[in-house]
Amino acid sequence: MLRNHKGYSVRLDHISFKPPRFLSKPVLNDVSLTIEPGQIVAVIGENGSGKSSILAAIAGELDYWDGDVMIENAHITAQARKLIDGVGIVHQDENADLVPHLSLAANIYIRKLQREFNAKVMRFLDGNEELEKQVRTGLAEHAKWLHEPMETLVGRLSGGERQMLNAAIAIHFENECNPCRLLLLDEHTSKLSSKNSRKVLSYVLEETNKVSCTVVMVTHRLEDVTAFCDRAIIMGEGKIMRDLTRRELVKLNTADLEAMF
Amino acid sequence: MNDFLTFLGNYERPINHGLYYGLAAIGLSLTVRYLKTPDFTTLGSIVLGGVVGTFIFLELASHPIIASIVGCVGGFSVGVLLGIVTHFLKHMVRIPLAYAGILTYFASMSAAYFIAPDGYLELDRRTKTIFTYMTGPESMIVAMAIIVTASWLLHREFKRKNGKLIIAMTSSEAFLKLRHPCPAKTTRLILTICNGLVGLCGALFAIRDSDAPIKGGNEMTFLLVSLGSIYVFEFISSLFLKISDASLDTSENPISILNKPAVNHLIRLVCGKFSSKNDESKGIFVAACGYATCCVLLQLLFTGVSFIAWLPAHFEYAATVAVIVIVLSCGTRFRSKC
Repeated sequence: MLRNHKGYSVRLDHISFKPPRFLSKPVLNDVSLTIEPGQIVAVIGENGSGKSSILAAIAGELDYWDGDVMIENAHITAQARKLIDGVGIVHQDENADLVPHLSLAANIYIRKLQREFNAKVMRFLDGNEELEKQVRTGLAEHAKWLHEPMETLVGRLSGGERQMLNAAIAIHFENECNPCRLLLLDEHTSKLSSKNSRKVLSYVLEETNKVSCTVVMVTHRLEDVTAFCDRAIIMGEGKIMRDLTRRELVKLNTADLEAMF
Repeated sequence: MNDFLTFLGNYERPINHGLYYGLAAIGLSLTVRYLKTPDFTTLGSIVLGGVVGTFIFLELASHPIIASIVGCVGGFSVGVLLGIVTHFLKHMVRIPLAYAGILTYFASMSAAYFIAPDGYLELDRRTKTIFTYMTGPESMIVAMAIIVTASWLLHREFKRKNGKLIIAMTSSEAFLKLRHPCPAKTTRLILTICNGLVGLCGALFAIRDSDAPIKGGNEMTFLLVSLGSIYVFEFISSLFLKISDASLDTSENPISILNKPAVNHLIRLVCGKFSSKNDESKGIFVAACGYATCCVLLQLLFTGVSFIAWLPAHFEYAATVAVIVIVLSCGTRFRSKC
């Protein structure tokens, strides 16, 4: 199942994280993990087991943490993520990634601004018709599900459409390298029906497969884990409880998997 | 036509005041819309802008036109400075925006009393200003031109990088933390534009009326009229959005005239212009002009009703504050429902 190695590798060394609140418990407790390039890894477990914190650590979104995170042998600090091209992240709440009061085009523009990668992008939509045309064609090509014009307000899209848009931006438009090389998905289909969830995930995997992008996804949909993932990491109390390979996963059904945590 | 001119002549002062408040409302609306709370620094900006504008005017009074223009620039600059002070308190000292605004308001009142210890700064009635050369409708046309220019400049800016970043401030806390490229800089931009416009409004007011009072609660009237106009226009805008969203194109519409394609198209076009149906960057010009229009209407209404005239002396402040609190709470509830 391991594909051509074009995705980024990820290494976590003894990661510990305790929220900066009075009497708070550690969320991650000395977690070490290596993810090979091109792997599709699911992180599963009970609520509060530290799944999203692992993703946040890889994305450099944690404020106070110990240990070392490396993406393609580059050390990550809290502020470094903006410097690494090729890492896309889709958060659980789409409102953390999209501005409902802006159009599709303007949302892509904001995400590109976040990366601050070149002056060309800064001029995007400021009368640069050629670049705007490129993005329009790009979005139309990569997001065939989207039947709305680029001027449509994001707030007027349905939940599923927003999740798909969010994933499309993370994969194709957030980075200079297109598609991205490492995609982090944090329960990105949690608000969708099973049918829509499968549709979104199929779209994401179809796009990431083109370059064997490494995918790390936090999910509660165990049927997706057994169907699509190369590896499943089961979290519990801030630690890795089990690390299942594809060979082990194919032998399990969702009930067996659920019984493990 | 003559009746209309007579009306304008009779109500020249409130209409002019309404237009200037409209300019300030455009600034204040930026904080209401994008920082989710009105910036109370504006209370100080309008007073200090007026005092500084008049002070500069008095220094250059021998050249009325230059003095008026430099006075207005001075008022704008003071507003910008107060906006930066509030931003400093919010981001460096970590004081919530509402409290930071109130602190800057008090500080600016002290500064105003420092410049004018008597509590007011007055121009000699014989002193010529830029407004001496304009009487009746001319001064209104100038005020309207200033408002349209300010709205157009905002509209132009909102199509660009800074405008998009300002609109992105309406997003969730998570977005501001994780995705917004520079929330602190954008907050500073909003506060400086807002207070700059309010300071300019204060200077225009003072130079036009030849008077910059510190006492008297003018700033409270400004807040009441501006906030009221913002919420009134947002209410109208949301009504238009609802009409636009209604199933006008279905043949089941009970009002037969609405089923005609031309009427339907016209209604959708008008509603689209006055509602926030599309990207906000495209609607800011209409919104800004709408706030100014509502300001004029509210100012005319208050002039007609003069709601505090029958109150016992010394109760004006309490009454105005009570009305502001009611407007603020109703407006906030309305916004959260929208």
